[in-house]
Amino acid sequence: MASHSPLRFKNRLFYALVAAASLVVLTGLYAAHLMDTHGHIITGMNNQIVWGIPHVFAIFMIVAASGVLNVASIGSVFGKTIYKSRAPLAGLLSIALLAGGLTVLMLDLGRPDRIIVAATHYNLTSVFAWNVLLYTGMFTTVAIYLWTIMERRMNPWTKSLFLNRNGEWLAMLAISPGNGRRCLSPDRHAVAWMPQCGVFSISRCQDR
Amino acid sequence: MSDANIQRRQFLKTSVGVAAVAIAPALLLLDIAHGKSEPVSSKVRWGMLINTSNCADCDKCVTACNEENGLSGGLAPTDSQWIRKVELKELSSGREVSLPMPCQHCEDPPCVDVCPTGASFKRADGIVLVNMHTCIGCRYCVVACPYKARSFVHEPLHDQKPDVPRGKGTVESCTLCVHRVDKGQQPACAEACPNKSILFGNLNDPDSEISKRRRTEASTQLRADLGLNTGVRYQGI
Repeated sequence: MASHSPLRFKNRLFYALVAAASLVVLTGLYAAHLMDTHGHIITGMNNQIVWGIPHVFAIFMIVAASGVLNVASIGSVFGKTIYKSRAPLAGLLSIALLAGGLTVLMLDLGRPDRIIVAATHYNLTSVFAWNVLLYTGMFTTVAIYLWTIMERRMNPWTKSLFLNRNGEWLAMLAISPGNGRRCLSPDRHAVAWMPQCGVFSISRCQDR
Repeated sequence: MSDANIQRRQFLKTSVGVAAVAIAPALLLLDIAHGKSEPVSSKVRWGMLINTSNCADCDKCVTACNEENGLSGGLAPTDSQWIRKVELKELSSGREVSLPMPCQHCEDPPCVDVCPTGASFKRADGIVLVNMHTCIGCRYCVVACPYKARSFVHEPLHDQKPDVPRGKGTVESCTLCVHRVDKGQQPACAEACPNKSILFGNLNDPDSEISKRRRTEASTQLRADLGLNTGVRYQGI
């Protein structure tokens, strides 16, 4: 009996974490509902401070989504085998972070109910419109990447995806939307690496 | 001719008559609803010439705009302001100027460039507008406008003007009173100015008052360094 108790404890911890995470999600949905009912007046943002903390979080998560893939690329592109076992988790985290960041952006729209309009009406001079395509592309690429590492017969294709380059490009666009300013490559690497190290370290704690 | 044929002919005649009576008013109303039938043309470019040297210390243009477009008139950072009075002071001389500041209706508007859905658009006659049906409220245009001309609707709206549709969660700005211009009238601010400091007209017509004044008197555009070729020009600054 005694040998079962650590596992039981881990199970309980898992469900406690799920409950805590669900609470966070519910709070977020309630906040979105409040904003939908009352308008952006309750956010504290105004016509002078147009974008606020939600956008800081969103950009952080999108950049982290790109950075977390660096771990996967160390294993897949640069052939460091010790990192290969971490690649699926890195890919999954990347998709989760990107989805989270985009959800924050979407819920902060004045009319989130019209999100479909962003997919049906493109203004190709707008970097925001490019991002709709680029983020979808990133989701697809990471999903295919996960497929190639999880499906044994697809393994040879893993390296050819060059995920790291793809991630760099996206993060560069996300950081500087349309302002004519582009982050220098070393800056971007620093920005992308720092959050990914944090997120990845936290996630690895679960393994131990 | 048989009775049946006569009756059928009579029936057809009556039916056509009834249909005509039923459809005619609808067609008439459709024409009225659509306003002018001819489309706007790039032969016209609407603009304004604002003379700040005789712009009095009043805000009649602002109140006229608020009244015309159903704005609250509040000055809080979350309130919509389509035209503002901006006070400028030259520090070395102490000279003060008060200038009315609506959307500048740029020829190359940054708000139109950045709008992801194309809701911000420029009409052929140079008026920059927002399509309230496709604006998703991302507020990118508010960030991009160098003149702070755009406002986001932060709260639910009540008692809207039928000619000026607005919507909570969308972005809006001066429409150059497009609903009045299309009827051959002037924008409300130009009409309300007691000193006639705001001159509205067609910049593409060499014989228009605004073109003549621009030819003979010095005028300038705000932030000319941005190369946006604004439709609103200023004198006396």
